[in-house]
Amino acid sequence: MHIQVQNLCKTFGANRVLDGVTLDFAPGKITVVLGGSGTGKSVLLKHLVGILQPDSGTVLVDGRDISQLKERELLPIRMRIGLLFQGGALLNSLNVEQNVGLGLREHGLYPEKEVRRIVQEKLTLMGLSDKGREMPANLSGGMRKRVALARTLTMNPEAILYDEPTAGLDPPRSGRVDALIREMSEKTKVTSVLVTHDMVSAFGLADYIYFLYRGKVIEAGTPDEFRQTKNEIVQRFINRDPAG
Amino acid sequence: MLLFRPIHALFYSLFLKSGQVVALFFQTLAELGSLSRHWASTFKFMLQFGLYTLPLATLIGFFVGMVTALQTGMELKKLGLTDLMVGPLVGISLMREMGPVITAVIVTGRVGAAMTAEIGTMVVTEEVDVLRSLGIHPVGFLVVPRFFAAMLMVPALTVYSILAGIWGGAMVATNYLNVSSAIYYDKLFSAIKRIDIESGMCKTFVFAAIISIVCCYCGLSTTRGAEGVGRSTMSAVVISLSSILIADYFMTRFVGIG
Repeated sequence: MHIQVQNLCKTFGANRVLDGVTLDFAPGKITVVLGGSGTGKSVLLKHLVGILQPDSGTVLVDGRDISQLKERELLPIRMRIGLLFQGGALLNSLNVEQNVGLGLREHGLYPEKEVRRIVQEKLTLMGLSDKGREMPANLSGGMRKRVALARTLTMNPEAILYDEPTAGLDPPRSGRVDALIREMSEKTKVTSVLVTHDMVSAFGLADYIYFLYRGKVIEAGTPDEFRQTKNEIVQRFINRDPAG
Repeated sequence: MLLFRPIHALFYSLFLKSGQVVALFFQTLAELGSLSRHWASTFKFMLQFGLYTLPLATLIGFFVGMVTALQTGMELKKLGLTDLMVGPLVGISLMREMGPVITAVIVTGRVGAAMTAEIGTMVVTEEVDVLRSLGIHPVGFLVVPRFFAAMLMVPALTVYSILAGIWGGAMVATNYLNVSSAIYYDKLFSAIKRIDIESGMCKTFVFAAIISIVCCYCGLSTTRGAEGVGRSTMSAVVISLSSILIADYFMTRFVGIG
């Protein structure tokens, strides 16, 4: 799946969150979007699945502009794109098993027995095979995130948008999630868009990196090009400079 | 000009929101097919609208019937018409007006407000966005089960509330107004016509639709965190109650079902 963003602008009240950003998420590649807190990274991801509509600009999914589509027209496109939310965003009224199987059951994609098998397989993959009956309120932040990732994977999406997938996870689990993202990308050629602050993940996974600053893309390139950047803002961010 | 601007803004907002509520109603009808996947949650909401509201509806219905009997009975006593009129007055007023309206008020306060708070919290915690991202229509998933449960259970609860009111009226009539229960029930049932039952029942369906759609709309349009959830819940109760009373007047006055 090829996702392109052209001159995207979004304003909330007086706050211009995205100011004419243009990005290209190549099919089958892992693209990382870096940037400080509040630079519009999560807002950008929500535009890619049509949850938010831009003030101006276009979002092209396989060449089709989705920015002006109606809710019902967007549903089949959203089924092809998985979005992993920052905090997991599990449905608190459903248990873990129901959360993970939600998309499959709602769309009636498989018989119930098959749904249960897929759900258990994804939970096992995330190291949560014994947590199916737990309610989200009883899980830690990291567990919630892994359940959300399992839910995203059940739909076999053609593109996966990860919003801070490793935030709140310990280093070994972060490494496991990174390995999974890499494996997914290599095996299924899924298009991956990763929004993160985790520089280890970013440089370890990215085929291409964009840097967002005050709603604009101020740097773009491969990880090697980013390491040698002359842009002071990007350098300060990479080097965790408090003045950055 | 300065005065005109806020008035214009108020009316613009009023018409815009009214239009959105009506649009949500039609979207809900269009999504009714999704009900087959949501029987479990529909049953849960049926319990909330019906079984869990039953004690409150009984208590309030019972006392409304008692107050109606007491108020009318005291006046009728002066005219010597207590035996003839107290039963029919309690019965007809409960069936046509008090039963449907009081039950709608109870349901709005007890179930409608909770519905708005629940959906509003789902909005601010991005749970509704999750539904969208999975290609699930939020109206089918969130609104349809609540709408269907309300359409089934509010009329049932109203019937129960009316019966509790009639019983409460009988308690006052027999113990305080010295009307025998046989005369009370005889006069009541012989005075009630089919149109009284139909008009009351028609109102309950309209009220059920108003409560479920308005409360879901307010929940879905929640913004700005916990404070926003509180504001939405307050709006849901205010708009629902206002709409119920306005609709009640127009149904009684113009549609000819009162």
